[in-house]
Amino acid sequence: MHCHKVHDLFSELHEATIAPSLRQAVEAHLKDCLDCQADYEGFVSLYGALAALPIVEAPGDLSERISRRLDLETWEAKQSSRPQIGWLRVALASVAATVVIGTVYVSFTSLAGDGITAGPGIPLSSGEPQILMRDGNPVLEVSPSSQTRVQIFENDKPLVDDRVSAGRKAEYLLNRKGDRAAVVWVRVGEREPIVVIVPSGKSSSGAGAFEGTLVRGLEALSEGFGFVFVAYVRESGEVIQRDFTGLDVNDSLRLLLNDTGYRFTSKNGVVEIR
Amino acid sequence: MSLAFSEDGRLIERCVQGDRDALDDLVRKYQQRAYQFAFRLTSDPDQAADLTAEAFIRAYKNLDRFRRESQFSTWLFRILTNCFLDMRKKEKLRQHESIDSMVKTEEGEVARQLEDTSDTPAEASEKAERHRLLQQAITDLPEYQRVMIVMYHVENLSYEEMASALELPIGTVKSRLNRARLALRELLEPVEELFRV
Repeated sequence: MHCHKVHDLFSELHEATIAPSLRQAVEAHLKDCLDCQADYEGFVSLYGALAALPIVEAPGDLSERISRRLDLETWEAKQSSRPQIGWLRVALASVAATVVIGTVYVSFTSLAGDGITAGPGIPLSSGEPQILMRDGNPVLEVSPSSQTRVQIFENDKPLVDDRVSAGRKAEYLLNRKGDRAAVVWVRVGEREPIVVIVPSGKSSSGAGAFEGTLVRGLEALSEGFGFVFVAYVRESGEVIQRDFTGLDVNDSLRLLLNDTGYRFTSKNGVVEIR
Repeated sequence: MSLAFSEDGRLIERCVQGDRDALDDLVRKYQQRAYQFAFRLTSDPDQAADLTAEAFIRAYKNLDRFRRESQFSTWLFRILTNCFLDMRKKEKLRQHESIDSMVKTEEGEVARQLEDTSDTPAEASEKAERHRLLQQAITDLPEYQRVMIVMYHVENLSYEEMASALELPIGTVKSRLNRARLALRELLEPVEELFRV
């Protein structure tokens, strides 16, 4: 019997399921062939070592993780059976630039673990919500480290209510194609982070629209929203993004306006932007 | 007892009717085995948890198609195997796309294992090293051999159950498993002394 044939029968020999006649032939070969003998001994040792592998304990939160995925699955199944709300309704910047443009709120709600954090005034790191420019369109990109709920509102009207799984990337087009600037406000907190997006018209068409967006932003603040993350899309298409976590409204606005060239004063509750 | 009248059969029936509690019960009952299977295939606790969750999602979506001729666990292992193979395909694609793909360190692949605590520290250390080397060698096997080794030696599936899970004739399972063991032994040959009984 050849060595390779003997190797083919190692399992059957060890498990004693080999036919008696074959067994004799294999054992005879092993007696004479030292290499196969050593191989078989190694094989038997491995068999024993595999049986001794310890139990691997599942993480304590595994049930919870699976349940969340199942919740998401059932939720998405229900959502897909409903008519979809088009994100293009967020394309408010198509309104004439001199008209005050409605506020769009986007909220991120982390469904698990800590929220997204960053220090005041520092650029955002990867993994946090980012505004990118694609073919002249501002696109909100979300790639959370934990399952995250993304909601987009136009004033109080919900436009998008989405959930993004950990490690996945979701993109939301926030504007129609065109030469537009957009001011984007984002609040990212521990549990209920809020993002407020205020698209503006072309900045070259006048300051009114831009100020109008800020006024809407202030209204949002007065309704209990906090501005922490701010992104501003310059006319050139360059995207400026800053995290203002921990700063109040005045400081957030002041820092934002530093980026835009506008000046901001606040006295006795009256806000003036020049 | 056929599955239809077993505890699992009743749970599955309730799941199909949309009973979420039954689904949670099914998850609780099988998650430990599923996770262990996934961990032995991936050597990565996070990937193992993701695979386990993904497998339960697929099982949930396809429960009405489960024919109940096999055990639920066998069916779940088949789904886990498919999830694992899909994941590996994606990984290979990503690795192909980026030469900067992250390489996992051994330190990053540690999962909590229930070791026998009756050993002396030296014995425990040697045993832990043996288990680490063995796990590494399993991970170095081609995917299908890895699945076979884990199904048989970790999950203690019978040849019949493996044949059902992998949709292969028993003879093929036996011969492939033998080849997987030989391949594993070859991988461990340089450190064979540690495994001598």
